[in-house]
Amino acid sequence: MKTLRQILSKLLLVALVLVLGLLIYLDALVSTTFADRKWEIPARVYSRPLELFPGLRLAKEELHYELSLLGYRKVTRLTQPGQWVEGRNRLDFYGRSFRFPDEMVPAARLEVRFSGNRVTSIRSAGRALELVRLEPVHIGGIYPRHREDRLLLQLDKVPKTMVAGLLAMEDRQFYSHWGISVTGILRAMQANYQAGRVVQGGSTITQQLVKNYYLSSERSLWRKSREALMALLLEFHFDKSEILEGYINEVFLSQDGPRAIHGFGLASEYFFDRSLAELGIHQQALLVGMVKGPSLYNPLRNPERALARRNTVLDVMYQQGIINDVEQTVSKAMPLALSQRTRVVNSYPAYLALVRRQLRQDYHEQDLGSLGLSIFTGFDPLLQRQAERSVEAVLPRLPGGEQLETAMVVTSFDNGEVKALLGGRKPRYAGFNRALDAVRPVGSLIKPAVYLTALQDPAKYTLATPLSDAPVTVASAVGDDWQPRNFDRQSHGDPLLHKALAQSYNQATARLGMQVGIEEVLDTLRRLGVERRQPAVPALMLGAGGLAPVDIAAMYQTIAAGGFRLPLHTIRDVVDARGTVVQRFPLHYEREVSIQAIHLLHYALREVMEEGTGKSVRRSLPRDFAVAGKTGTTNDNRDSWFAGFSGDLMAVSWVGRDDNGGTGLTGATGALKIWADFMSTASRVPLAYRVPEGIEHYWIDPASGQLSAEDCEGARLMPFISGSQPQKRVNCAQRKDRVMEWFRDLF
Amino acid sequence: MVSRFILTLGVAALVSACAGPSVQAPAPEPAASKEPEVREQTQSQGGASQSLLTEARQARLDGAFDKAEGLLLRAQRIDPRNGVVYLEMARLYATTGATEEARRIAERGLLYCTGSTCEELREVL
Repeated sequence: MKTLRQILSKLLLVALVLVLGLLIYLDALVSTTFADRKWEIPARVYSRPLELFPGLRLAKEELHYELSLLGYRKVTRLTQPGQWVEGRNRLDFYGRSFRFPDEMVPAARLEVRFSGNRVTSIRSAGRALELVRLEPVHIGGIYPRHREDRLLLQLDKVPKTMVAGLLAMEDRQFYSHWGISVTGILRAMQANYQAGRVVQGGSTITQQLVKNYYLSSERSLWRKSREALMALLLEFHFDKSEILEGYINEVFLSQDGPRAIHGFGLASEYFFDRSLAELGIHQQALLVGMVKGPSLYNPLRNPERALARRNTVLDVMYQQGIINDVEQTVSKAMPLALSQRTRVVNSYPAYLALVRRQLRQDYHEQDLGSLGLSIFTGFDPLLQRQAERSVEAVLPRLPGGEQLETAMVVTSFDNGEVKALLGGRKPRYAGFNRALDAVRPVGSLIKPAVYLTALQDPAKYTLATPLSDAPVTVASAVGDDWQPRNFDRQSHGDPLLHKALAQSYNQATARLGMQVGIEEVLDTLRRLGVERRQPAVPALMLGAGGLAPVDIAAMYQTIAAGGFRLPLHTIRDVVDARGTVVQRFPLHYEREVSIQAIHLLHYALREVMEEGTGKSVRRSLPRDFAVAGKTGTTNDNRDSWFAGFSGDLMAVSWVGRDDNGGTGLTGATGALKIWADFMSTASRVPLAYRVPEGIEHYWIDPASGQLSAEDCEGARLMPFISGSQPQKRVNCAQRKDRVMEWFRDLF
Repeated sequence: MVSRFILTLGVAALVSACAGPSVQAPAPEPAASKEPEVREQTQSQGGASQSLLTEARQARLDGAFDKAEGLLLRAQRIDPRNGVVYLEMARLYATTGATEEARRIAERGLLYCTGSTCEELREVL
């Protein structure tokens, strides 16, 4: 007996030590983690802000679209931020305040007037404004592993009626208990016993917070015990307002795809497109009611049930004296008043994937999902919409359209920003991102690198250098001979260099490439910004190495920018949770190719669009709208490529099949059609660089490449790097065309 | 000026329609002069970027280089074909000792400049 008592005493002692240890552990957990407010706040990714100024080419419909993405509502009179009123040739809106990386812009009423597709004036409070920027569109987030998203709020920013309503529904003794409510537990036990199942919880708000914050949702005595202990400890260490604030930020309210909506702050934005402070009582009551069953009372999925629950909350709020009878009656008569806008957050998964990829170069994944960073990007929703529209308009009309996939990258080459991105024909589908990861042969898109290598040696090569387009055979190291053929299976004599590129002659290009050297072409590719490793084989000259659309974008971006290389980037600024700019993408150009040689290359790439493989672009673009680019087609027409630029945008378009089957399309009959459709609407400025120093122009005989004269038959004016012009002159046959001469006299 | 431009376009369309096969289509190169007319008058977003440039210049003179850079980056996004934006940015980088960046920005600005701005950009090189 004595032995048994001793054993029990020892067991009791061990149990006490264990409980004490557990208490110490839980106390440390509660006091440290909760004190640090360790909520993981996802990074918020924003589009570019739309800059409005007189003279801007922007249709009223485009501003309308931008405002709709921002969740603005159409009204008949502006009374608060987030509203717009439409008028004839004008659009008035009440802009919201927004903290940009460089300044806080206050809310303001603005009147924007249009003439045709142009903004003519912007006024605010009777004053004409030169420049206004709208807040950027929140396009997505980078979430922690558990995918929780929230907007942190301080308790004093939560409407008092809402706090009172929450306590009335969830925990009326909140201010008098110590974390657990014995009466609450007894009441719940009685209700559950009478119902024969669990119909009511006895948890206080503190317990609910502990459960959500630290514990799982399993129903066990062990979990319940820990919950009760931790609730007591939480109340011991923190005051009521801190616990309530924690609860308001922690509570789970909805699921948006893989994203979990936590806290009243984000839920208010998610369901109503308004800040919590702007909510009406009926909307506050709806959110309070959802706490009990976020799925059951989700107003998007179960509007009737949600409405009934909201009205129950309003009744309780009235009974508890939180609202008066008029407020109760009016609020109950209100509809759910949910946001009508199309969901924008995470609607551009392809672009967000590139943002994430670029952020990973500088940030740990865990920090991205937890530090509450704001990521300001160059994403342009208007250009993205046009890219999507062009694909929708063109792709189904191509032969075999239903099996075709596509990708597109659009950049602003003056600053290297990626403005729009399509990873496939279904832009909302976050599947395989072809723009970033479809590494395919690029065919003739590589040729500009071959020709640029040559043109950088003006002592040997100019645009007027005759090249042999005769059949060519290159012996490879492994014994196989490489015998490239022209697309039309013909040889074209000795075309001048500019024509060989414009007409995309394979035989002439392969020969030229072998003359300048494989390593030199690889070096040019690297200088142009291609980072993906390419094979040092002769077939490189015709694009046998694999590149993704984004790699091609990097290459053509440098060409479009006149030889100045900027890394393709999506991010402008990264701002931390305190509003401090922690990273900014500067305008640091690198230049490792000759500006003059690039100018010559532009000449040939413009010729592609006027007389060469890309001339069908003129069905979409007016003749005086200068553009430059290159088509690309791979073996058995598996890939249809086009890369090109105007004066403001560079775009790469790819069309092909995921199973790598033949498409029957060339670069011109597939990708170029999408590109042209896009550019004809999206681009505002034709290509028009100032001619760089060190360039001289001469009239050239098209057959021999020798000097000619303005009046000579067929002569064309061509640029040369100073001193590299031909020295011989051909006999001149007088031009017969008088109209042409008259035309030239005009300049 | 405008009427002449319209006339030119009209004639260009006429020529392209009438030119026989022996005559080359107009060469892609826009003009033979060393400094052809840049479309800055119609392409530049004058007023909008001007206020940012003025503010950025003042910020640079006040030593607020971060602020000046932010303003110039914004001006460049709005008005990327304005040589003055590049000139101001080159001056800012030169002031902060980033001479190589200044030189490259100035070099790029030369692709868009007009008149005296070109001379000022060359001075930065």
